[in-house]
Amino acid sequence: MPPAGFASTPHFASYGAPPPEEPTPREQMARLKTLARRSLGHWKPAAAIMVLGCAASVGLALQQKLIFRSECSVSYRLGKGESDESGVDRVMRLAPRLRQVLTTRARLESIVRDFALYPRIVDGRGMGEAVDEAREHIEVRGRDSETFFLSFESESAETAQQVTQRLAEDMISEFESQKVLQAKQKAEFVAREQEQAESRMDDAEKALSTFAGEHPVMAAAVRGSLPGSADLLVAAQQATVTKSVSMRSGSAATGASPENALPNSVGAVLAQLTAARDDAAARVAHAQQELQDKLANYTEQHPDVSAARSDLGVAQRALETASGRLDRAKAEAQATAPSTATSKSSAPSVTRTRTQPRTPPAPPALSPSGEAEVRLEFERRLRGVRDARELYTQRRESLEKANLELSAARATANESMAILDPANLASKPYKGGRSKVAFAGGFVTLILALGYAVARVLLDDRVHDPGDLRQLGLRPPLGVVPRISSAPRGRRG
Amino acid sequence: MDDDSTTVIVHARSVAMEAQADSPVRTIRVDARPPSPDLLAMLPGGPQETASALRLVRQRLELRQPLGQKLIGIVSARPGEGKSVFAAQLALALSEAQRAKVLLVEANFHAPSLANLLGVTVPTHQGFSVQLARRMQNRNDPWVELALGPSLHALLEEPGIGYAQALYSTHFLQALFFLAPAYDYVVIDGHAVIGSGDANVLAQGVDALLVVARSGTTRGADLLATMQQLGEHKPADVILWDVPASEHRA
Repeated sequence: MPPAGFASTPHFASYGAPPPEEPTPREQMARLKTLARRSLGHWKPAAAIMVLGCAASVGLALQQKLIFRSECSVSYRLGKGESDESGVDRVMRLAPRLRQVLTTRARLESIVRDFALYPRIVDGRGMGEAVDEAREHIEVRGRDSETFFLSFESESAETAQQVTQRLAEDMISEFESQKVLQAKQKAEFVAREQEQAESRMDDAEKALSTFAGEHPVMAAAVRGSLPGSADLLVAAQQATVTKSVSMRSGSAATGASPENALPNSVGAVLAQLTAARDDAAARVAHAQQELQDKLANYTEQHPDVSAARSDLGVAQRALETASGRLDRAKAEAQATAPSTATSKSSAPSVTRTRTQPRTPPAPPALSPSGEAEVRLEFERRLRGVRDARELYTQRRESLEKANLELSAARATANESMAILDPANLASKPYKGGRSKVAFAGGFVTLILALGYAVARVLLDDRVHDPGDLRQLGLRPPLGVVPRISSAPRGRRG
Repeated sequence: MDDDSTTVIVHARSVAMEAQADSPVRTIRVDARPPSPDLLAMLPGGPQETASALRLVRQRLELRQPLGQKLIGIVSARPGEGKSVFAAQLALALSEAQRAKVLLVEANFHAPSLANLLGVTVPTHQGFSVQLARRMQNRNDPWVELALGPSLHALLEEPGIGYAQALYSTHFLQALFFLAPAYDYVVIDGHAVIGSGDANVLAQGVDALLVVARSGTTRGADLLATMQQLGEHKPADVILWDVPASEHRA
């Protein structure tokens, strides 16, 4: 267009002719054709760009790293009554979990090390980066409710296949362990509850036996109203022993001697406690053996090892409890022994007493209201023992059930997950197709070459034809003199 | 000159002088041997397409003749864009078949090229600028024109001998005004416009200006600047010259 304020000059206003109008569509089309034709005039540099670009594309394609992908399908069969969730829900829940299980740092470290993956990253940036890189190339996706695809990508088809197979096997192993671990944790939880119930039952029985010891008249009632009351009475006797120990000096003075019949009962208690301690020690030994076995096969971080370690802890605490009880009972028995010897040596009536039926000490006389209170308290303690025993029984049944489930999980774990199709050996690359890169490069180069030619035309400020004069806002030329092809080219004055 | 020819320069001849006693104008008949005859287009055997285009230009100028456009200055935006070749082509086209009497004037005293282009040997000290210099020295020698044909005369420059400042003297325009009445057209080979004021000096003395734009060489911005520098005092038209066949046919 002419410069501002210049459009009205005669050069642009045309002599006797109407001023230039807006080009018609036909003129615009002709102009486009002209520009296209001029663009073709730059075919030589455009062709050079094409040649160079295609060569670069081919070079790039040849340097392109090929990525192979191996896939393995794994079936997951749901156990009977294991879950009511839909297939989609299962896939949504399990796929991320399985991937998480597979991409743990410890597992990937061992895989990177075993298959010598990403040596440059390992050497340059460390194992952590290599593990992250490996994690990027693992994919777990669900196909249907019972089948999962596991895949791994690598620059080598063989490596991809081997790693995929290893991951699938690890996943199955891990899944089995997880299932057993869940059953084991449940069994442990129930066992702890059973221990609490047992402790509560012991406390209740101890309270009842103490009460019976303090009120011998209630012993008969205990026999009549509580099954297994013989043990309870032994405990009552033990409680009486404890009481007599605590009041040893006082009882000698009063002449009351309820301890006379105790040595046999104390031995029975000691035998029971010893048996309990031995049982706990055996459990500890078993748990230790389990832990050793697991450590031989797995790392410290493995869930089985953690579970075995937890088992051992529980068994050790049970052993400490049993040992403590036994030690306390022994100490109490030793404390009662001197008074027994003293009574043997000093009082012939004691010998007589042994040969005669044992008679409880005379209860203190109670008022009617006091007797009612004693009976009420007796009933309350008796009810506590019954409740504790009932709870203990329930817990014991739960524990047995949990142990059964644990056994079943151990036995059936291998049936829940299996490899359907082993990892395949990829025959062609999954990514980085060289022909694709070459074609893409060629296409880009073509665009560049065309763009170059068009840009040359659009940025060309020179006047070529009357259309250019029109673009400048000038009048049509007075004449258009064609080039003389035979004349020499060059500067003309 | 060969009068039988439809063109002006065909055969070499000996230099002759048509001397008229006391005449203010002397005509010297010269032979011309253009080194590139095809370049002039209007010679026999020349490119017909170019000749046709030049005839079309001639026809358009003839239509404007009633407007008084007789003195025609040929300029261009920058040097080397073909104004001298076009001036020679136009002069030959205008005088073709003696349609009109034409005087071709070399006004580019800094870089004269018409004599070489036409293959004419200018007689010693008869170059246009030298004649102007004599006028500036108050020597009223007759004007010496070179007769290239029966209807085509020329005022050319002697290569290597010239007085460029003569352009700026009043005698330059006086000479044009004095000689013009004897001709139908006076074609003046001018100067590059950008970077010089010589074209504007020429513009003062001519009736119309033709700005030669060489296809593929002249820049649009230069062309606009040329039009702006020439101003609106004289009509100026663009001649698109040396257009490639592809562009021309399109």
